[in-house]
Amino acid sequence: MSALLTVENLDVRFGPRRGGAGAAPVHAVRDVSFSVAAGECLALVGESGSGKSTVARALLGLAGAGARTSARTLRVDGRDVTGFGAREWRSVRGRVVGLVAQDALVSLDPLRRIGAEIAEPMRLHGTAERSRIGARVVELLRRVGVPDPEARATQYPHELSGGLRQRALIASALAAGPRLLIADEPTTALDVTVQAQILDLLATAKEDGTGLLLISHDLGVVARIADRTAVLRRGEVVETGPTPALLAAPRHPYSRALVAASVLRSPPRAPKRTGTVLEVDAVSLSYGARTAVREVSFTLRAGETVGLVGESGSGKSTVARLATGLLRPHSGTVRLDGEPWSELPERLRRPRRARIQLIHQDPYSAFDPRFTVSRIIAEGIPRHEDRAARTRELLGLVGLGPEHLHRRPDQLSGGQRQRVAIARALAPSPGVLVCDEPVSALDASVRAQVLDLLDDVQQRLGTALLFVSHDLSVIRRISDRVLVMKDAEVVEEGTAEEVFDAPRHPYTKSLLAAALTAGTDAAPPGVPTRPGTPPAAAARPR
Amino acid sequence: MSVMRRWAVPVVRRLGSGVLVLWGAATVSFLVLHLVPGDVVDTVLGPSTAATPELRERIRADYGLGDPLPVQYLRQLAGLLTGDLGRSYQQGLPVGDVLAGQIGPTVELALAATVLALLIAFVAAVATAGRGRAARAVASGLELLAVSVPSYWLGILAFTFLSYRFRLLPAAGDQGPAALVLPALTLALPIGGVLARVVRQELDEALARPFALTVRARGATERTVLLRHTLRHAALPVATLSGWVVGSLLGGAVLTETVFARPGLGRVLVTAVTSKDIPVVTALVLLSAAAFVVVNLLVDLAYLVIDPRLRTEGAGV
Amino acid sequence: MSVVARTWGGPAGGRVGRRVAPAVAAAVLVLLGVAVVFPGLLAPHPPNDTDVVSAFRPPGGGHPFGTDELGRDVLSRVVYGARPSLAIGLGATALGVLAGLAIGLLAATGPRVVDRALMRGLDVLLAFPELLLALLVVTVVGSGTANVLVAIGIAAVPTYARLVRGQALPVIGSPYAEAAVVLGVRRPVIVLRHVLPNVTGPLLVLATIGTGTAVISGSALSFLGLGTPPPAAEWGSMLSDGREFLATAWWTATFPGLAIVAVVLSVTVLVRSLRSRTPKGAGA
Repeated sequence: MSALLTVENLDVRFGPRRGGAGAAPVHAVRDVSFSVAAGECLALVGESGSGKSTVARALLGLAGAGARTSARTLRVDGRDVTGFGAREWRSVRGRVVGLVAQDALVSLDPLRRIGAEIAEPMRLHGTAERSRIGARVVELLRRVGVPDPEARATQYPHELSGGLRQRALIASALAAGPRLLIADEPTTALDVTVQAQILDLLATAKEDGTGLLLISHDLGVVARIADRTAVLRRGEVVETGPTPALLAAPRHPYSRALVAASVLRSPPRAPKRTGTVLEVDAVSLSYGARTAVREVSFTLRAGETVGLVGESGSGKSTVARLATGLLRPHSGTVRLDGEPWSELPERLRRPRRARIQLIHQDPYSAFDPRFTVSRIIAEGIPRHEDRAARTRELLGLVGLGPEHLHRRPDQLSGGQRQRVAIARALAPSPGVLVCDEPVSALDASVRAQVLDLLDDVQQRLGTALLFVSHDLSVIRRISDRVLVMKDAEVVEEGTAEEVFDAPRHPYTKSLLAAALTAGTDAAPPGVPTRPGTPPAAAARPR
Repeated sequence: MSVMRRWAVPVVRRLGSGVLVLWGAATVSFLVLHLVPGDVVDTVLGPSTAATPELRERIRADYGLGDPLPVQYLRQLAGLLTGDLGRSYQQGLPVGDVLAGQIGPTVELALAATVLALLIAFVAAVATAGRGRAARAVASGLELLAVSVPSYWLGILAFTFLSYRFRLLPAAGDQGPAALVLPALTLALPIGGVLARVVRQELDEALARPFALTVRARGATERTVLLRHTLRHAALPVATLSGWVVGSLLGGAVLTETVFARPGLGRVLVTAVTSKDIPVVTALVLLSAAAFVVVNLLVDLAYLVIDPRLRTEGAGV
Repeated sequence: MSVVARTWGGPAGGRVGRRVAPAVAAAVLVLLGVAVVFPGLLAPHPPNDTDVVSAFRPPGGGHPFGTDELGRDVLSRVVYGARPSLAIGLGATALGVLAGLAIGLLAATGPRVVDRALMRGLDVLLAFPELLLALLVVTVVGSGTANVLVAIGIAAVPTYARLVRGQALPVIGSPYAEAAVVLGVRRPVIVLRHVLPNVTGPLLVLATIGTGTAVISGSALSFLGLGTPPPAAEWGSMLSDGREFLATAWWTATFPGLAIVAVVLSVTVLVRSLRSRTPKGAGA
């Protein structure tokens, strides 16, 4: 098997050449070596900041203006590209190596039609006669499983659903017939079911003989498609090997930690369930003609965790806001501690707001950028308490030290921020904590820690959790009971064991089938998700 | 059918809000100008005229000044609808006649300046976007200078030295295209300076967006990325600034026409303001508001052409 | 005006932009401050001393900037002219910023009806070009330094108000404002604690540059004969007087013009350098 791509000792540095003024130079990629053969998929795995996207760009000669790239060998399809100038690089890009970037909504020019975007590589490289380009575009769209390709070609990216957009992006990467495809987090912005379809599509391309370099943070994605995997940490490859072997028995400590964190295991839990704290009774909310939430009911008891799972647009975040009293239901009621809640005017609700708190998905935007940690947490502490002492106590509770008191949000890591957000939410001693995708923005290792922390808080304080997430493994890890939402309604409800081990609703079944797990036993059940199956083409509500 | 609806709905909505703005402008100017202290009759009579009480009364009746304010207000609105802008206190002529001959030169000046400003902006921005530090520093410095120099002062200097002293270009009056060069340039420079910077910032921003990486990864040259993709993105903020541009053009015209002794609405306005000729001031203010509304409407339509995302139903600008 | 401010409020780049220019700008502004507070320290002559014998002296000797048609010392008049010019610039901006802040905050944080009404009103005012709006106000209140100040201030209100609203709305809708609501913080407190401080940073930057633009507008109105009345020294009216003699005595109109340029440039350069030094997240 001849290598399509050979990389030996790749180095990428950013910043000033010598110790001049300004920031210190950053050594983003060091001594990285790997190869990709035709028809093979190599996955480059790492957490945020590991340099994996920088590697992808360096392979296209697009590491950036401030970057200095060097390599002992950089061979693409038999050509040595180390000494390439701008013109030679352009003949490689699109024609020999195609790029599929993360989110097609921003990776396709929003002001141009899908057809023009797919045609561009063919025009640039002259791979198709001008008169035949239109037909080729349709052909490509059909090949990537886009239904009604003639009509789609005349539409704009924002008019397509996330899945179709990503297919169109793949079509444009394939347009000039490259032998190697670099896919940089190609499914990160997508829902699980769509994610599985896109991965199947990439697998088809691989079977057709295209080499595939997959960049991902998600071991589940990697397990599904990659033949071999390289683990990247702080710019260095710490381990390379066949994917099943690497996931089953990682050798390097970092790979081991990564694999361990990707499989969330629930500790044995014995919830001390007592009285009901939150009762949601047949609440509905619509925006104009669109129903966001329809007749959703559930109860939450002290000390238990209810997980609310669903794909984007299913209405799960709206339920979180209805419970918190940030939105008012059009019909139905929410009762807190057995008393009226949703129908109260804000003036009467305010004194009881301490009882139910909210944790946002992105802790960074949930803090006033000018505030220090101590001010952020103090905002939630009732006036009669000793603020300094209570702030320290809360910091200790979430595992942070007093040295963090005077930092600003931008001086904290993602995990630290989410800990501060939890401390702030705990400040008024709430009985209910509503968590809206609290770990989605975090790396796997940090995610596990934050989930442990939430568990620990619940054990110690007896707080009830309403936990909203799109991530099935997270929901399974943390929930006692689970609600599955689809199109504004709850389609299935039960204990975690019931829902995950014996799902009844077809939607729950398809969700579980599409879910990607990195575990060795995780060969996904073969639910047919052929690329040709047209997914719902309607634009996603925003 | 759906195409019709797609375009008709936003157009009708914007037309409606434009009419509202005009009505508001008419009301505001009516109210403000009726707060002017002093007797209008004195303005009509001009200075140093001793008039009999009978004559004063006749003038008052003539201009309808004795009527209660609501009646005067309704009469003015009715007049506007029929194109009657009232009569100048100063010249005794219908305002329409006073303005008629002056619109041409001002429009000519404003259009020439707009073209020049856009030319300056796009040429400067395209030449420097994504380029090295030196080119950007020079462009940035020049743009900064262009907005910091009072344009009328620059006009005076150019007028004096280029036209008067060295007789390179005609400066005064309104004699053909050559006489338009200096005034238009004076008017265009500060506007071009601002637009150039906006366009360049937008180009730089667009060049750094993910879709630009996709285009480069297809093997496109930087020129292709710039001209075929990002330039359209840069046109959007320029369109947003059109209201400001209209204002700057009209305000700048007042000064430029004074400096270069050109005929036009700007000079009429200065004269009317100094002599408190309220009907003329009102008419000019409404005219500029109308220009603003019309240009904004056109720009909103241009928006729909440039950015398909705005054509989706329910999306506002 | 806010358009100019918005486009120039960005951080500066390059060595000249970062080191030299701000130092020069700061020096110019210090000098200007002295000219406003103690003009006698900088001016070699009283500003209104006429001396027909020494009219139109070119720069040099006892008159570094020359003399005008009445033999008045141009340098002294430029120094004394700083006071009315800056009074207009600062006063008008203060007026515009305060009124704009009140209206903008009310629109952003008040009920939707209030927001709609205020925005419609601002739309109407925005339809008047700034200089025309100022001329309209001058028509009503008459000419003079104080009136010009009010006129330019009022003309600037809509742009500041829109800016404040535009800055405040994302803060009001931000997750951290939502977090404060969930914590039971009252709305006025949220406005004071979160919205106002996050609005003032950008607003101050814009106001500083707006001051420069207001100086230009004020001088323009004086140039049209509607500002500070003669014989008081003011840059705009000096320009207006001097331009008749520009062909023979270039210095009469050149130096007041340069003074305006120096003020506007210095203000802009200084703001940009401060802007690029502000740590991320602490400002906008």
